[in-house]
Amino acid sequence: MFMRNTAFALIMLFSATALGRPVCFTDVASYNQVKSQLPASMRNGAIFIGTKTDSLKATASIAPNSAGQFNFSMIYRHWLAGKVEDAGRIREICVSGQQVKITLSTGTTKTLELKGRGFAYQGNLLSVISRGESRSLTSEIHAGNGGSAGGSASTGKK
Amino acid sequence: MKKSFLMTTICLSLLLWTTERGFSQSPPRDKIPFSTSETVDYVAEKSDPLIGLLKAPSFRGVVMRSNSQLESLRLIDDHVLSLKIKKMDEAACRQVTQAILGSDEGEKPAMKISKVELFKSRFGEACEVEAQELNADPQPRRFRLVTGLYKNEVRAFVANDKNPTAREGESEELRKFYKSLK
Repeated sequence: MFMRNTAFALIMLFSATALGRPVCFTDVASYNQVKSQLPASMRNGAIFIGTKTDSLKATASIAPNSAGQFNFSMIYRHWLAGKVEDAGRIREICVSGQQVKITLSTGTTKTLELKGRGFAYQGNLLSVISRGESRSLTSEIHAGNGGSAGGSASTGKK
Repeated sequence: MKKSFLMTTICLSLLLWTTERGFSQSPPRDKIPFSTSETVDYVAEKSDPLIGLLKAPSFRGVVMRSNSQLESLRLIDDHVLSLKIKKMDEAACRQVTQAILGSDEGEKPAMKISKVELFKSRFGEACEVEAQELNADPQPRRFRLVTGLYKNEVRAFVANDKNPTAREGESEELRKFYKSLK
């Protein structure tokens, strides 16, 4: 009986993956149920990503809040705009093949693409970093020494 | 002799200038997609897609009002919406707000609208909205939005602030910014 159930579960799991059916979660409880089916970089309960472009240095995180839901937070320092913080509550995350679709509570949906150990978003590569690295990058952004282009002083502050 | 010395000095000065300025120069500034009598700068999503990672699809860029005394109005999000609105009234204004900040209705509303007020602008009726983010953790943001029909497009400017109470003169200043559009 046990063998038959296990085989059935394995077949179901394999078929879902093979058919490319999206694996979705909305909160920590549903995340724990599907965690094993998610890509390795998404199995740690939280994702920290960082990137540098010619004009900005950014770090973002998808992490659970105290209510057991996921928040999407971002902080960046742009050479012209200065330090900017943005955040949103996540309604649902669906992973299908290499695509990660994130729907925010506002209804806005953003698609990230899994690229090696990171994610790609509209031509920008976001590397998966550790919580410690993210903290350090956040401090750099707060301190204002992150101007990659050696640009003007920051004028905007939020 | 004197001529070659002069040439060498000019060449060296040019080389120094390009090393100091040319290679470490900032990326080019984006063109402002609207006309205003205020002095502003603009960071377009097209040039830096990452700035729109958490924004609605209508987001076009960030307006920088460096001269503003109000911190909450120094950076304003610029949105252009593909909604079919012929006249800006309260219902249209709520529609614009929902398209940008999410719904204020249903089981899990994303925000709560606390004020909708129409005002006159050079481009006809415009509207100002005050809204508050709901279920946000740890700190809900306060939004102030102005919208109207600018050159046959529905354009909205959205400011946000973590400070729970409105700052003095905020409403007037954001309306003044919208009225500065040419």
